[in-house]
Amino acid sequence: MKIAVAGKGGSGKTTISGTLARIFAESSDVIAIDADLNPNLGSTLGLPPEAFDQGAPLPRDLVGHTEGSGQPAVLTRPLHDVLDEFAVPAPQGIRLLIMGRPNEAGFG
Amino acid sequence: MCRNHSTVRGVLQELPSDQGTVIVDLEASPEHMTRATTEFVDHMLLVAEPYFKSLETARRYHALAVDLGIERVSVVANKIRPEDSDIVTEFCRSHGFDVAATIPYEPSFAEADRTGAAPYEVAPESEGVRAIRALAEALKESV
Repeated sequence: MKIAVAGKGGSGKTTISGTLARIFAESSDVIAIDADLNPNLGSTLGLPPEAFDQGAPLPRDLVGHTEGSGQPAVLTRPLHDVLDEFAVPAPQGIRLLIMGRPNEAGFG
Repeated sequence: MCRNHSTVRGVLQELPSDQGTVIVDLEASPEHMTRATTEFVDHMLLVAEPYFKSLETARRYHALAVDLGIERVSVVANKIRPEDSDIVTEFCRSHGFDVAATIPYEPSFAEADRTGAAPYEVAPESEGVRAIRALAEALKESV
């Protein structure tokens, strides 16, 4: 099951996302995706700051050029390799993917 | 499409729905919905606090999520104090929105936020974590 958590800033999205991930991890494999350019999901998953600061955000060349084409974004590498290379290991075997960093904002 | 958004889209598209659980914590802006990066999720949770701007955000996001064709869209009422108990549920009833869970205002969440700790670890028996556990059960049953 793929679940997205949205809402106004400060509504508690990240606390709910991280805690849900930990609860689901009791009974299934979990991949947690931090899609915020100012990533904080790591701490609510139980990672110390140094652990999730070391996690590399996914590189830009991971998706094919789709701007304006109306075509879906397509990964240029197998998903399995992407997870192996970029997922930050979190408690209970959760794999955390970080989509961006604040210093990347503004690139298109 | 911004690269960060298209990466989210590409990863979500390729992750299977029938193996394990994927949880995406979106940014506060509606970019991920207006750019259709979240088209490939099975369930969209809209976290709403019991005040006007938060509910209005949930209402707008609900419309965007429905437009994207996301199969299940639910509201999660959060930070609910006893005196506010009906505000989010009444709002959702009047708009025909599903309420997946009501999570109480939880002081230990604010404390965990201050110290950068995981509520699951520092307050596992709190009312808040119990309510999120109930949410997880409801999500599993909705499949």
